[in-house]
Amino acid sequence: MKVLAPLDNVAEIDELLKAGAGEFYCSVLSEAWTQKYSIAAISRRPAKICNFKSFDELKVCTGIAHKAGVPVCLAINEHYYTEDQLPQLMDYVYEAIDAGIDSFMIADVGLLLLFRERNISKKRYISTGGTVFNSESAMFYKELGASGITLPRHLTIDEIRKTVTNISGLETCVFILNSRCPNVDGFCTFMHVQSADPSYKNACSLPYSVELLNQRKVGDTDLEREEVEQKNITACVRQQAWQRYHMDDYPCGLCALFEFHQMGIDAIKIVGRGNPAARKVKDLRVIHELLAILEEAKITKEEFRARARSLYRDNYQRECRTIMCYYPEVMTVPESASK
Amino acid sequence: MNSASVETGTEQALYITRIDGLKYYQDKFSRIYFGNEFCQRLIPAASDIRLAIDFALNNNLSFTFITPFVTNEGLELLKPLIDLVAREKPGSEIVFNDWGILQVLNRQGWDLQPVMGRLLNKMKRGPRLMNLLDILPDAAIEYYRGSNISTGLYSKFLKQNRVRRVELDNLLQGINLKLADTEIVASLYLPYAYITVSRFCLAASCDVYGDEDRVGIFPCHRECQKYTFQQENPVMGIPLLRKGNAIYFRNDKVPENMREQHIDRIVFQPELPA
Repeated sequence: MKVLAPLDNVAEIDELLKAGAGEFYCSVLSEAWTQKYSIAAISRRPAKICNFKSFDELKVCTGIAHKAGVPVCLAINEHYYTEDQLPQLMDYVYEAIDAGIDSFMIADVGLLLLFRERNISKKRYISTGGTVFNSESAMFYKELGASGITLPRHLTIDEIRKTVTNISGLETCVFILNSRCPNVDGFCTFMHVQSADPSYKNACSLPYSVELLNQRKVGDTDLEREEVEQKNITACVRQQAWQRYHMDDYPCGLCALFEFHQMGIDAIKIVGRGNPAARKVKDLRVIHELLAILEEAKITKEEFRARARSLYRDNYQRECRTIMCYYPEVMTVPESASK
Repeated sequence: MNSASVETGTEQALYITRIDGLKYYQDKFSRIYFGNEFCQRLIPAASDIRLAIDFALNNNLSFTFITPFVTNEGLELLKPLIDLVAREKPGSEIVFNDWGILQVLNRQGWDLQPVMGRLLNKMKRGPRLMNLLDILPDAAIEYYRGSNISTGLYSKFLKQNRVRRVELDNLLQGINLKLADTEIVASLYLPYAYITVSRFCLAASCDVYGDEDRVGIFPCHRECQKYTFQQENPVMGIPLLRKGNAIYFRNDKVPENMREQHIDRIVFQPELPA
């Protein structure tokens, strides 16, 4: 099981290789694209910090990565591109190939079709934006030339197991750390906007006032009415869950490595284009410590969970929380087992 | 919706998610949409599908079965229901919001017309875009009004898969699809446009005190049938409506250029779908 790690610049590549990156994914900022399309970014990450500044810098990195036997994938994962954008987009693709890119991460069916028509031989991985919720949709993408799929965050471990069964010939990738999106990425049509204005941070994280439209005022007695009122209040409070917890407050799926290892999942993805190098290194080290346990020792699921929780607590200084757990069904293991 | 503003000759369809929604039927509707786009737990029972089809047959209406994105489990649940639609009302439409369902439709060879659902049409809907229209370059605005559906390869691919119709939301920034050369037509959903959807449903168990932050894929008691929320932040400009696992905005303004956009059908939602 390889670890797919974000890479944003040449300064961090050696550290990340040393920490065990098994494959890199990245994006490149195109000034020409940004001038023309502004916030409609080529790779869903408009911020400079999330991108290589040039294909020359990318080329240096692919050279270093390839010497270490590590492939590099370029994200061209906006959910859709229009006809007007395609010529410029394909210039970008060919520049990336010249810079030594091994594969592409794609969400748009139109772009996949274009890759097929142009006989582009590089591997295509379906981004989580491709919304592969079942085996049939995985095979749909395989028929369009995909080499692998990234499964959505919004699947349980059991659903992942059932999806990856009977999809031979496709590499599989699941999320393991950071950015637990509240909404299904590939069906979310809010924009990712880069702005210093906090009003333009991700829409799912904005503070909202919440009002119940169909106020339920039922009950024959004061007690019953009070109970209904309490339920109404609770229901509104719940709608603000993503205001209380930022989706990047160290969400984690480490406990599920046990099952993913058993299933033969090919890659686990650390989200984090734009994260500081030290954070990426820490994420890689924590994962590799757990993978080493799975590879070398006979360990029960409960023991593994306890180890994962302990490592999470020690490295990120947070307790496990359902809302920050990628696969919260694992939290049925008693907390006492992790002491 | 101001129905008077719908151009003559535009088909009008009624979209309901539950069988009691048939109470909204009016003579102007020539088609019934029945089903759910957002949650596989809300896929209607076979008995309700039969009732909806019977209603369509008795009133000489066309029928569209609308389906959500699904896990393997949801797909297995859907197959016999799609088969039922094919048997009871051959030639009906199936709106798919999951490429896996199109795979199954192609393989089974049912006498049904596949229609690409609005979840697979990825045009941006976030209302904050309206604050930026004045400062964005023209090419960016065209992008936000456009779609990949009109790219040559994509539209050809859809036709090869027997998809001749796509479903659209009524975007605040306007629509400019350029479908004229594609032989593809479009339906426009009014008045609710979906913005986003989750499987970490905040309606599930939403009234259980102490579980406010228990967010994941957990069993529910269909609380979405009881609660509808409005959430506001000034930057959005308009209220967001949260029903079940999806968020919407309301836009009653019927676009003026429907014909030009190959929009030949209005899909009227009397309630937020759930």
